[in-house]
Amino acid sequence: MKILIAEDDFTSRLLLQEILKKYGVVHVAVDGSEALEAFRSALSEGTPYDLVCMDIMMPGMDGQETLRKIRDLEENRGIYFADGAKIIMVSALGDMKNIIDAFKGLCHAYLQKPIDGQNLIRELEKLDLISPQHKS
Amino acid sequence: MHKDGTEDTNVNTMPAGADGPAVKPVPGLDALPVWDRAVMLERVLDDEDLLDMVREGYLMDMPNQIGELKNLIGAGDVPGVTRQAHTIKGASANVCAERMREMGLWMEKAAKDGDIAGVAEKLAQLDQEFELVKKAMAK
Repeated sequence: MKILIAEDDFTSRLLLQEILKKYGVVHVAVDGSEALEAFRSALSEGTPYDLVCMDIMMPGMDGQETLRKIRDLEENRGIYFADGAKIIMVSALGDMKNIIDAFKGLCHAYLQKPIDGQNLIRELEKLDLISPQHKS
Repeated sequence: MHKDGTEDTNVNTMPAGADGPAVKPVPGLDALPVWDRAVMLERVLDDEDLLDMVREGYLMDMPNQIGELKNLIGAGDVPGVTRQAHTIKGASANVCAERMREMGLWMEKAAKDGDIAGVAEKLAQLDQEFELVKKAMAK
């Protein structure tokens, strides 16, 4: 699995990276512009991301705008929601407006921070990105 | 001040000084743990190595985040201060440093209301809270 993390906070990035690296190759962007550019390059190279974990509050272009632009990039290439990257918003913002905007922007899931490894893995399982994990 | 010249360190009050009356601390911190290691361990999937890595990363990065907050306050950058307080809140929440999280939350709300002076007043308390976190997280 090819994974892109878009997150400006060091601690959040570290946590997401370390949890997700067990499941695939992880790339990191520190803001929306960098994330969009990484996504565009991957599409152009024919090696698109399978999963994007996106923070919302980032300097410059925020996660909501980045999400919309990612979906625009995909649509321009004839890739529609069902076939596009799975996008999980990971944000400390828990207000209904941000949640609704994210789903309107065509994210697949919205996880509220603090980052919880079990919740993240559960979401990956729900999105069929990984098989159900063995629980001891 | 005691007779021997020492003073008590009390994070719940700021001493009055040349700058004016004592600053009221951010309320509600007493009920919160400085660092909830047990909950953090659950959130990192009971991985002690991952806990240590993230703990060390937080301790290394947070002085930079607090420094950036101070710079943004000095520049009068209201959106910047709001975002930076949000970052401090989120990073602290990730490592279950609950008092620091609450400080970040208070500062974020104050900045959203345009009260940069209020945020600036709480910087000394933020520094003191981080010192408590460093002690709690020390191996």
